[in-house]
Amino acid sequence: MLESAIPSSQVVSPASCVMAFGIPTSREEFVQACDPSGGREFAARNFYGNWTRYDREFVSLFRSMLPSWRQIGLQVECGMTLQDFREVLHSGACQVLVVFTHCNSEDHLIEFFDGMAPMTAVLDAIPQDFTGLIDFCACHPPAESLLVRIVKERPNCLVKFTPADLEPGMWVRFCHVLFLLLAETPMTYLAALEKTIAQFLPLSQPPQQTHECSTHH
Amino acid sequence: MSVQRIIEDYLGTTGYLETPTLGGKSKIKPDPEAAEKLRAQLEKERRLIVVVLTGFYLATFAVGVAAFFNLKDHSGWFHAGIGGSLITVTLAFQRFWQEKTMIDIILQQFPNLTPEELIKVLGNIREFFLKKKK
Repeated sequence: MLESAIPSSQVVSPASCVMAFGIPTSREEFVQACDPSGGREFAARNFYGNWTRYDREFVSLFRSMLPSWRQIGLQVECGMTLQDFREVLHSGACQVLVVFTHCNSEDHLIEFFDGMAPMTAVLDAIPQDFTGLIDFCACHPPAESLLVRIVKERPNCLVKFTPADLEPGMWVRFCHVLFLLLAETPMTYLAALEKTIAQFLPLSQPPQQTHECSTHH
Repeated sequence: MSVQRIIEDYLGTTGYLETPTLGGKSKIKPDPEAAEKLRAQLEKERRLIVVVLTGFYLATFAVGVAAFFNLKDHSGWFHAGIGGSLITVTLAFQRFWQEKTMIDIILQQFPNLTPEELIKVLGNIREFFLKKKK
């Protein structure tokens, strides 16, 4: 029983994982995200409101993968707000939360559908007793401060980040392979990560630099 | 140099063509100097297209008139063949005319756009070229 409470030892299936998107996944969301009054960054600053390019580089890929994710039982949350993030973690129904979003590492902000949230707000949204794993598909080294604080202040939570530039198209493919692997053979999330990295290594280097901050039980 | 190439060179200078990443800062840096260079390049390209197209159309017209007077005793099929060839060649040059129109539109908008807006407009025009190639 003690073994199963340690996030790194929990065998997970896609049904116990949530993949949540803070960046737009549809045209409507993209238009909203580019509205300057929303203060959001990723779509507006990197794509300059060019939906065609955003669709070509990310959304079309996401859309092509969505049916198979639903088929294997993966819970997909589009347009994740900070409140959604909090609720998912408080629901207790998820062992692994993959946060697929943009991180402003200079100002220490993370993008949610309702705006950019400071790291402290993100930390506050994580329940004290959360025993799952949070995979930030967003972070960059300067955001480590958040990760270090999660490790210190949420001792039962395992958090994973990648201190490298993550291209959304490449990363969504990575997650796709990872969840299909988990659907095929239930295993720990970390084992699935390792296997997926091994598959991707010949193609690209970023996953190799994946770091994990974990607590000791 | 084609208009697509000129636009992509400019977008490349501003960092727009780099694949965005989830972390870190935006790689796009609007550059007014590069915008001025772009304007000069587009104006040069437009002049070249006008000269080439005008010369070509005059030549085509001359060939057509010469063919009319010299080959009028030939059969109707022969005339149709000559006329068809000229029309095909003329249509092949349509691309240049389209490029000139595109340059006209960009240059007309140029003074009214901020460097950020210019990147946005040219990014969209590039998508038009990419879609056409598919």
